[in-house]
Amino acid sequence: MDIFRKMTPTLTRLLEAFLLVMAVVILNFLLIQLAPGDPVEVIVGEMGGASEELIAQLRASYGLDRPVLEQLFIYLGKVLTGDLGYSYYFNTPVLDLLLQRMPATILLVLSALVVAVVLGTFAGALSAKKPDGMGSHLVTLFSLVGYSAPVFWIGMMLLIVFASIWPIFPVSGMYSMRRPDGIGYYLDIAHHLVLPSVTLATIYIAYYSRLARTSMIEVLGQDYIRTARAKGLPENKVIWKHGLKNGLIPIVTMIGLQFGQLFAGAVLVETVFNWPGLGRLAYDSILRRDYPTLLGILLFSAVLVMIANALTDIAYRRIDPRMRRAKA
Amino acid sequence: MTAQPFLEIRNLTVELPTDSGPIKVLDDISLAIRRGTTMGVVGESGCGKSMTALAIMRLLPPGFKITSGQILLDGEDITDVPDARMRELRGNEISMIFQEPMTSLNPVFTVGEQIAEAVRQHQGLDTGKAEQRAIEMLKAVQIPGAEARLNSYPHEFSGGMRQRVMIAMALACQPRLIIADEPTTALDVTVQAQIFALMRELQQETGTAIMLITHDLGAVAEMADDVAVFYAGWRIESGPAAEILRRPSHPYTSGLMSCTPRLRLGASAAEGGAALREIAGMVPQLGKMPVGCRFAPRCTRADGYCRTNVPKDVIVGPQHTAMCWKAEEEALA
Repeated sequence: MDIFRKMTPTLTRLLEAFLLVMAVVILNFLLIQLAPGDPVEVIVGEMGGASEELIAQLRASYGLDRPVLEQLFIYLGKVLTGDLGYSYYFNTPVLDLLLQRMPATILLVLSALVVAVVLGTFAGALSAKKPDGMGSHLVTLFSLVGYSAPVFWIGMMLLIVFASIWPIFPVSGMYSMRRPDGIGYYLDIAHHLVLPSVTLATIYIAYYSRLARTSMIEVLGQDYIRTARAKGLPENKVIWKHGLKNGLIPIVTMIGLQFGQLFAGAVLVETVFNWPGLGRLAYDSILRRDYPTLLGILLFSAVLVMIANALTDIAYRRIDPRMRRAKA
Repeated sequence: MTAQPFLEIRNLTVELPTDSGPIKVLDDISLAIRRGTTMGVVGESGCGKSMTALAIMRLLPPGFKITSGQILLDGEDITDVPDARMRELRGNEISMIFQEPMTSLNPVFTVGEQIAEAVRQHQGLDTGKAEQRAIEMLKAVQIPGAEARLNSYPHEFSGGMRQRVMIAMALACQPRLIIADEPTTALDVTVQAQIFALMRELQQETGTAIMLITHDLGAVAEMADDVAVFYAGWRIESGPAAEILRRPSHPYTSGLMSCTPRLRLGASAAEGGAALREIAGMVPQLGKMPVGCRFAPRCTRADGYCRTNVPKDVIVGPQHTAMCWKAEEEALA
């Protein structure tokens, strides 16, 4: 009975998550039906033209001649069994395609997130120490610029400066033409990762530094900070222990909320830097009208965002003990 | 009664610079607290009581500066010692208990950690010993189930229990002076009595001196050996508690006393005669101080001379001083 009571919230959440994923699948499927363009026409176009007969045959083989609702139910049934269909373009299972492309995107998104949260929080907290100081104004200025500059523009500027004028980073891709072995392989990937992840991180560094600044200014004015000082703690402990752990609470909340936007940013960054991840695949799939692949990517990112939210929730509870007893 | 004071404040002035010139938040304050005794500091809100406490701790809000005077802690002037020395003293020699137990504890650390942290900082104890010390302290402030409560967070305690945790934290390094800034204002009356009893008990055991900031004269009567009365940045009267409560010299002090309700069974204000009075008017705003005595606009005894001449701190009895022209006349008479 006790175990059941403990499990219930978790089960409820899992059920909620499942229904949400299904809703996402249905919505995406119907949205794509509304989009202009016909996959068969794209395939035929690439073939250099075909007869009416062949076109009808292609439609039938992809099931595109059936009513939309029937197509939807077929798709839902397949998704439930883990079958995301075949890519119109690659003619390989979508799932294989996604699993192959996913690590690159996760690497990009996570490294951008880590850079953004660490740098942003640090800059924000430092500027909160002296809200009227020179450093604080610099942080505010930088975050304004970083926040308003478009991602693709930042990417292109970084490419011009650090890959063309001063070529210390590779222009595009994830690997060198000749892949080194052993540790060199990972260093090579890291080398390629710098510009894309900095590009993707910029807006979030700006965002988190602003958030951290506001949050830390508020926290540092609290009574318990005065208590910490009255205890004779050195200023470093006051700010980085007593201040930061409280100041992090809104930041962690924000991370979960922004994970989806981060994926959206990855589409642009991967396109600019020719990064072989899901984002670029999504962009290409739209152009190719490769709907099964696109649907698969949307499904994947929905699931990843949900996982990220669940992790955020756990992190949130770890940081703020007041939330532990609250509704699970 | 004649022991050398542990804390002596001499002519302390604290100013806040503003666009229209500096404002004296504390003006030439002097007081002394003897070892192992309790000094009650009373006055209305905004008179400089808390500011004095924060000046001693060197935790004045940004902008506020000590511009003259000395704060002698066991003979050492702490107004200009380096920050590192001040950190050695804070929480170790001088501790502070704040008014708001609900917000003065950090919500994201266990109470055990918050107590142990000060012990580690000042006494260099390792984690295990510091934790042991934290348990002892929680026991000393009579928190039931101290071992189990060590890992509780502040939100799991009631207000009174949180204030006990604050006291445990303040006492953990056996300071020789505790500044308690209205420690019971935010608590229920029944809990107030418990906290005072606890503080008295711990004082007897450890011999620490206490500076009790309050606006409750009842608490002063119960706790204090000496009293200092503050008004508008001045310390207008000081002396032994028994003497001042029996025979206040300054009209403000007697005014405060007549504002304190006394419980007497079956006596209503109408039949008892001694109706609860109030002091008319308000504490003058900082920066808009009267020219002469700052209390003159509210004083029933003030005359033209009081309104134009700043009173001096004069002796009016044994160890009893007051800043009042009328009190001076009476003392001389």
